[in-house]
Amino acid sequence: MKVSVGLWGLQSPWLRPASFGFRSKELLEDASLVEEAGFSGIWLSEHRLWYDGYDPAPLQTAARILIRTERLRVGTAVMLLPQHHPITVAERSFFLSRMSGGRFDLGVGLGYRNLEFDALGIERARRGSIMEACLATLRSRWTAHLVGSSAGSGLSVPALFVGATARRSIERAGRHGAGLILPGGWEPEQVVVALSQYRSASPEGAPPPEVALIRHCWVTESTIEKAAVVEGLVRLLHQQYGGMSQLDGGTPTHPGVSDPLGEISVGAPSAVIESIEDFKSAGVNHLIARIHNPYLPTHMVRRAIGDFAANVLPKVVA
Amino acid sequence: MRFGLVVPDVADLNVMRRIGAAVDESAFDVVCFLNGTGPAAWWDPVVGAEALGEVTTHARIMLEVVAGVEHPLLLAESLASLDAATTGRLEVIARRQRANESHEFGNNPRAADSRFSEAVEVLQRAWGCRPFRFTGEHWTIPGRLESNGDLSTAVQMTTRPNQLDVPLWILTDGTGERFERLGRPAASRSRAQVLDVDDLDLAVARLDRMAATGTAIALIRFSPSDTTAAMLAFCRYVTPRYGAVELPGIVIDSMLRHRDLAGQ
Repeated sequence: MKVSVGLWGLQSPWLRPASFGFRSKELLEDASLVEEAGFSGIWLSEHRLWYDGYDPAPLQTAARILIRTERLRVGTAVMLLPQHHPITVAERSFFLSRMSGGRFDLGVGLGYRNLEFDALGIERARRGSIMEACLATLRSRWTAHLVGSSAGSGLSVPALFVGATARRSIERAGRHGAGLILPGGWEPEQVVVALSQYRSASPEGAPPPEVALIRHCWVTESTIEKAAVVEGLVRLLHQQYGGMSQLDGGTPTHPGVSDPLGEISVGAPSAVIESIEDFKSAGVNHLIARIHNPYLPTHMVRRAIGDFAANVLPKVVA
Repeated sequence: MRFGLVVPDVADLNVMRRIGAAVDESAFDVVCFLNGTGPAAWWDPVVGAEALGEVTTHARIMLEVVAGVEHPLLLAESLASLDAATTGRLEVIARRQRANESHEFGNNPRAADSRFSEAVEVLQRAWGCRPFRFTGEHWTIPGRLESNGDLSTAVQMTTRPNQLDVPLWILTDGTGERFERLGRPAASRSRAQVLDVDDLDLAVARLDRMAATGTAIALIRFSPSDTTAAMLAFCRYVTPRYGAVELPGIVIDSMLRHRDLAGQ
C-alpha cells in the first residue's frame, strides 16, 4: 500500500490567520518533512472565493513543491476540473509531469459550491457532462503528446485520478480508466461496492489502476490530544465545509459533524493500523492520510506526521 | 537600462535549479517567461515561473500571459497566487490571443481584441481585492445563472497579490497601438525588447542602439545550450558598460583582457 499525506489548501482560517506567502513557505517545509519521513507523496486541494484565501491554483503550488523536493510525488485531491479549460489543465499537468520526471498526479473532481460555478458563468447542473468532456480532452491531448514526441520513453503522463462519492462519478472514472479517490468517511464495505461499480463501467471490466482513500488520521495515546484533534476536525467539517454550504444557501452542516469519529482513524498506533488494514482488505491500495488540518497548529501537525511515519507507515506499507 | 534573462524552454528541474542559482548570483534584474515560443507540452510559462520563483530570491519575475483566451477570473487568481508566493516579484506582460490559440480554445479569432480588453479590465478589478461585478460582451461576473440559485451579486477574489498594484505591461506590435484607457505601460520596442545574444561584441553594438532609443529593460535570450555560462559571461563583460553614464577606459580594458584570458 502506498501512503501519502494530505491535504494542503494554504488556508488562513480565522483561528490561525496567515498570509498566502507564509502558508506557502510552511507548505514547502512540510513537504520536505513528508519526503524525509518516507511518505510516497503530498496532496493539495482547490477552492476559490472563500474568505480564508483557499488555494485556487494547486498546479502552480505543485510546481513549487516539485522543485524543492527530489523524490516526493505531488498530487491534487482534487482539482475542480469543470471550472477550468481542459486544454490548460492538460498542458500544465503534462508539463509538471515532464519536468519532474513523472512525479505529478492529477486528481480531479466535480466541485460542489454554487458560488464557484456561478462566478465563472457555469451552470452547476452541467458539471457532470463538462467533466466527461474534460476527461476525454485530457486523455486525447496527453496521448497526442506521447505519439508526437521524439523524446520517446522519457515522457510520462500524469497518473489520473477521479474523486468520486456518487455512483455516476465512479462509473465515469471507470469509463476513462482513471484511478479513484474515495472519501474517508466511508465504511470499507462501501469501497467494495464502488470497485464493483467501477469494473462494470470499465470497457474491459478492469479494476482501477489505483484506489486511493482520503482519511483523517492521527496517532496519539493521549486522550487530551485526541479530544483536541477531534475538535479541530469538527471545526474543519463544520466551519469550512458547512460555512461554504451556508454561503450557497445550503444548510451549514456536514455529516461528519454528528459523527466525527467515523471520519478519522485516531488513537494508539495499533488502532490506527487496524482501521487502515480494514480499508486495505476492501481494496484500497493508496492511503492519503489527512493529517494536515488548517485549524490545528503547525508544530502539532508536524509532530503528528513524524509519529505516523514512525509508528504506522512501516506496518501499513508492508 | 535594466537586464532580464529570457528563460529558455527547459523541462528539467535540475536545469531550472542551476538557472535559478545563476540568476541570484548574477546581475540580472528580471527573469522573463515568454508564452507560445515552443510546443505547449514542453513549456508552460506559469509553471516555469512558479518553479524558478521558488529557487530565486530577488529577481523580478516577468511573465507573458495570453489575456482573453480563457476565463479572466482564473487568470487573475493564477497571477495573484504567483505574486503572493514570490513575495511580490511579479510583472505581467499581457497579450492578445493569436489566431491559432483562438482556434485551439474554441474562441472566435475576430473577438481577440474585445476579449483582451475585457480580460485586462477583469484582472485589474479582481486584483483590487474588493467585491466587484463585471458585465461585458464575453463575460459576466458573477454569472447570476438562475439554475445556480439566488447568489450574491458580486464576487471578491480572496487570494490577494502581494503587491498593492501588480505591474501590468501590454504587449504591442510596435505599430503605435494605444492603451491610454488602461493606463498601463506598453512592452513595445521603446520600453522592453528581446535581444538574442550569441556574440558578446554584437550584443554590445545592439544594446548601445537600444539604450540610445530609450529601452528600459533589455530582455536577453541566450542559446539554450549553455545558458548559465552565457549568463555569467554577459554579466561580467557586457552589463557593467550600462551601469554608469560613462565607463572609464581602464575598466573596459581590464574587462576585455580578462575575457581574452578566459577564452570567452
